[in-house]
Amino acid sequence: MIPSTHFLIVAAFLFAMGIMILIVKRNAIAALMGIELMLNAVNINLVVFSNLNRQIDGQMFVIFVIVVAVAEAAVGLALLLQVYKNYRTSDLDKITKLKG
Amino acid sequence: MISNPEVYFFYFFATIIVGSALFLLFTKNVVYSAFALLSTLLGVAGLFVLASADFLGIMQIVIYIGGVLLLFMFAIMFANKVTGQQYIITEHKNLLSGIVLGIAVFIIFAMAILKAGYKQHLSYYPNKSTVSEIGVELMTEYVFPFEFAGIFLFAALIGASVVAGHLIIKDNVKK
Repeated sequence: MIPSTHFLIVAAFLFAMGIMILIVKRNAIAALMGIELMLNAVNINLVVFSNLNRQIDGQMFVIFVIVVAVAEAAVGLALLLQVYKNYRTSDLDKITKLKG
Repeated sequence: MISNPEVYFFYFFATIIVGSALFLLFTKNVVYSAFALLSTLLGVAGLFVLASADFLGIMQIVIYIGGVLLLFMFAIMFANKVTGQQYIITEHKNLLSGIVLGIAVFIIFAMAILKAGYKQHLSYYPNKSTVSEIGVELMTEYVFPFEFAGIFLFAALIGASVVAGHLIIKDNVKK
């Protein structure tokens, strides 16, 4: 019998950490890690409320969120490889030109 | 005095999440941060199991730790220059504004959660599995999103391999 507030606080912390990582880190891969953390924080909230309402719908939604997160990571990293090939860097502040 | 053992497990996994997320924020080594992401996602899988979503916990481990982390490691190895100390280093910029924004977001969320006053406790079913329920739902009510997710993943993975495979073929031709 875990209080639901504790779960929600952990999820809020994870979301805030995701935002911080996304802003602070200058490597594109590390910024993508921040996005993954934010998606996971949302997943925790969905699972908790699915448990509280005794309905499976929240968990179904988590499955589709994970699908989208995986697709986003795969496409993002593939694009990053191409960007690295053109710019020889994966630093977000140095990727400034549209035409490489 | 707390009598339920799952509360201790909750605090164990919450400590894993908080500690490795903080390490992920403060480390400058990109490979270390990938492994910190691994242990954070492992803690999230533990929380899923404690919220009696066992199928999602296993899916989290299989997909994120088995798949996405490997993808991250490959991208780190491919798309980074090794600096002088043989480490792959990321710069930290906007440190003040990032931390201020993160703390502000956390405080706003925490205030909202505490003010909402959820008094319920999570119910924990040790002997009940959600696998059959999820399977039935996927084949009845969620069959259209399920098929759509299949096509979506197919298109995304084809696109990813076309975009990244182009690089490898061109490099081979150049050599």
